[in-house]
Amino acid sequence: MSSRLCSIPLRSERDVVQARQRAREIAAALGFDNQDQIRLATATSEMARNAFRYAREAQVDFELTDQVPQEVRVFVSDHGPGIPKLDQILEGRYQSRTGMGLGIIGTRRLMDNFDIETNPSATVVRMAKALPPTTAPITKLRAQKIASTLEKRPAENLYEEIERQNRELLKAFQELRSRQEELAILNRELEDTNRGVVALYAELDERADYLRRASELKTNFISNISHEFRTPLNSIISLSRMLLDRMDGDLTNEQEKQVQFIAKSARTLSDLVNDLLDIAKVEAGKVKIRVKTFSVAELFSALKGMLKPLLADNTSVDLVFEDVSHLPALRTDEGKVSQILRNFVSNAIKFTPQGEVRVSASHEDHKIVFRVKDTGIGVAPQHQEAIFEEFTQLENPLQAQHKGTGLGLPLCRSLARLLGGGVGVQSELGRGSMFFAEIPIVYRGDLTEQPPASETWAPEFHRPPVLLVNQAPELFDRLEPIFRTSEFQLIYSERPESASHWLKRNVPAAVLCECGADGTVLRELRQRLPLEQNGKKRCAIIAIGSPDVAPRAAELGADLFLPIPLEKDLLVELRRLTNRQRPCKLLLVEDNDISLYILRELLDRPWLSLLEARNGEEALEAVSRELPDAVILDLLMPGMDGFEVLRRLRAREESSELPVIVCTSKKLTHEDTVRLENMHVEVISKADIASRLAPELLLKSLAELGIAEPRSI
Amino acid sequence: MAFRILVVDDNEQNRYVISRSLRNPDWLLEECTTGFAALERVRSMPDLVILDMRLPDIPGYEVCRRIKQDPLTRSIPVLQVSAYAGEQGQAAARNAGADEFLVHPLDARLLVETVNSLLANRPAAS
Repeated sequence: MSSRLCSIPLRSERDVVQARQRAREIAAALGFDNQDQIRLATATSEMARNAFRYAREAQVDFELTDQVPQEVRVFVSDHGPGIPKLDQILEGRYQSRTGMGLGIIGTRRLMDNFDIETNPSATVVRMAKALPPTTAPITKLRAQKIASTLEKRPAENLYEEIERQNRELLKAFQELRSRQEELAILNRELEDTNRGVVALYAELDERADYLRRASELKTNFISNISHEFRTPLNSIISLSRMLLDRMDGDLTNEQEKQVQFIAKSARTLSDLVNDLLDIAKVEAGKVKIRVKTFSVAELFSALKGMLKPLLADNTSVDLVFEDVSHLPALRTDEGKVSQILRNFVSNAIKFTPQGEVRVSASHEDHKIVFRVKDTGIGVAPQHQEAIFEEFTQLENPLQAQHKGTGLGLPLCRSLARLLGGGVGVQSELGRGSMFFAEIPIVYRGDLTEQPPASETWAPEFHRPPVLLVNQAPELFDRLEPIFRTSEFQLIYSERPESASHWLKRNVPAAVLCECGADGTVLRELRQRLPLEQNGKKRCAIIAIGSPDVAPRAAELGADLFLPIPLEKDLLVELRRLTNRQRPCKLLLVEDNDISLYILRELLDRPWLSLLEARNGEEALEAVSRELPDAVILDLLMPGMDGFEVLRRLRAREESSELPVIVCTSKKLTHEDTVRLENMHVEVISKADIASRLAPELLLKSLAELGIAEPRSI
Repeated sequence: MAFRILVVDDNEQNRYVISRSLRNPDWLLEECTTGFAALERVRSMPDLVILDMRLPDIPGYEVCRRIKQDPLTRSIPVLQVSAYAGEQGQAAARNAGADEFLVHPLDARLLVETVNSLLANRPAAS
């Protein structure tokens, strides 16, 4: 049920204005705030104007519903020709030339409910807006009162209503502006937040990098220290062996005992160093996996031989190997599996005062599970994880007797993981332990890292690789014959992921890719491939494509663009590019240490590789051996002087054209100058070298000889 | 005539172990401690060089390579000694042209045997 509030027939423009006015008054009377008053008034006048314009005669009715939540309803009805294409208008697809379509959509936004019913002879627009939740329910009686007040109230002056509309418009504008300002502030805040997040991520990256470096440092440290331990240890072992061999006379019984202890301690220490080195190697990823096929029975029989000495003076423990002849052969690294089991067994024997150590194996899924079960002292549950950590040793009387390195089990774990498996222990204190290692029957390599077989390549040491990244293999097929006979090796990668994987381990002479019309492939590669390191480019990018995409390629950061067909230029350009990357070899011929030092400092450039010769003979030898790109030559040297060096250089075919800069403190006579000019050399005085302009001067002279810093590739 | 054996190792104890193991009236032992010194000394044509892999100035295998590249010294047998049994060192020594390779800690008897066989099978000097 609802109460009628007011009805206004629309017969003139004036009535439209009045409808708007009434709508606002009703909204005010029902407790709507200023904003909603304007919304209701605007919606009403918009629909009233539409109806009046198209039907010339219409009616607006206002009602208030009874049930909570109460809403005010506005009906605008006419008997006009109807609204064609209403569906399209409501979906926002209809573009009206008069703007009516937009009016309906705009109006719909102002109200809570909006609905139009139209046919060729009549149209009704139904709109509703819920009363503000803060308003107390409006009774029927109160609704009647509002209705009668409205009826009595005379229609206001048209101008007044327009003026009010203007004021409202102005207000709306102000509101809009303050909204926009709020939005701008919010945007700025968001930007700040984003920046913060980016900075935090950078910091995280840095931390991760730091941690990785710290771990690397630790590994290197352990490995270096171990190396340093080795030499003195070897001496102790060798020397004590000499003593025990009575090389320099007999030993007394006590002396023999003492030397034996020295030898034994050195052996223990040596084992520790070896374990440490093994661990460091595994951690540094320097361990090679040597895959071969072998049977568990073979492995066990070899182990029996190796482990027998461990039991030589221990008669209360039996070492039992179970029958494993039924198990399938493994294809993995036998040495590593054997090392794991050796460690398990020697560990078990150490902590088993009496009883047996039993070695067995079984086939489970795609793995062989090796088990070493003992009747020893066992490991308490709380320590069962820790014993696989480096340098963990437990307190127990047997441990005190058998000080191990604390590295055996951690090494087992690292090795098993390396083979794609794992290790573990089940144990009960006082009852014994069962250590096990699960090893995949077939070593699969690192699945996540292994590129598909078609994309692997056999590296050739002396041929710089060029990486082609292209989805379609046709390009590879076309380029491959060109490269086959060249000094470059063409590596093909179908996908950016595998290219990226490959690039992490290799630095090619260049990366080749196709640049299509839109350049998406090139852009993607630039984003996804690790082409930069420490802000420096690791290799050149060569884009290939039809001639018209050249500017696009340059824009996207290609170092070189080669238009298709490229058969003949490709190698020439590649050579030019890689030559630019190669440092220039510069031979410094100087007998004076200080002058040499100064030259070295001045010429300390990444694109220059400096060689030294301390006299004329050395210089001549270095030139023929190293074939430098240029020579900086001192004139005054003991023995063969610079003039003689030059004469001999020019006399040889290989160095007749070799660029030479003479750098001397000798005061040159006219005769000297003529001689030097005849031998085509640049001259710089050492006094100039001492000046502050020196680097520029030297580099300029070098540049004149064609030796200059490469343009950034 | 006695054979001259040049022992190249910067570690005093190592030199002692080698020299003591090889003490023999027929063998004349000489010692030096750096790679450059060794290259200098080989020009006096010892009959055998025992060369440590790790030297303070240049790597032992590099010394070996240079000895084996010089037509003058090429025929001198070189026994490389390393602290590591790893393949890498062995490969480096082999590639450099070393005639034998032993690993610390040295066993006196094995060392004597190796030296004997190297001296016996020396190629004729050029």
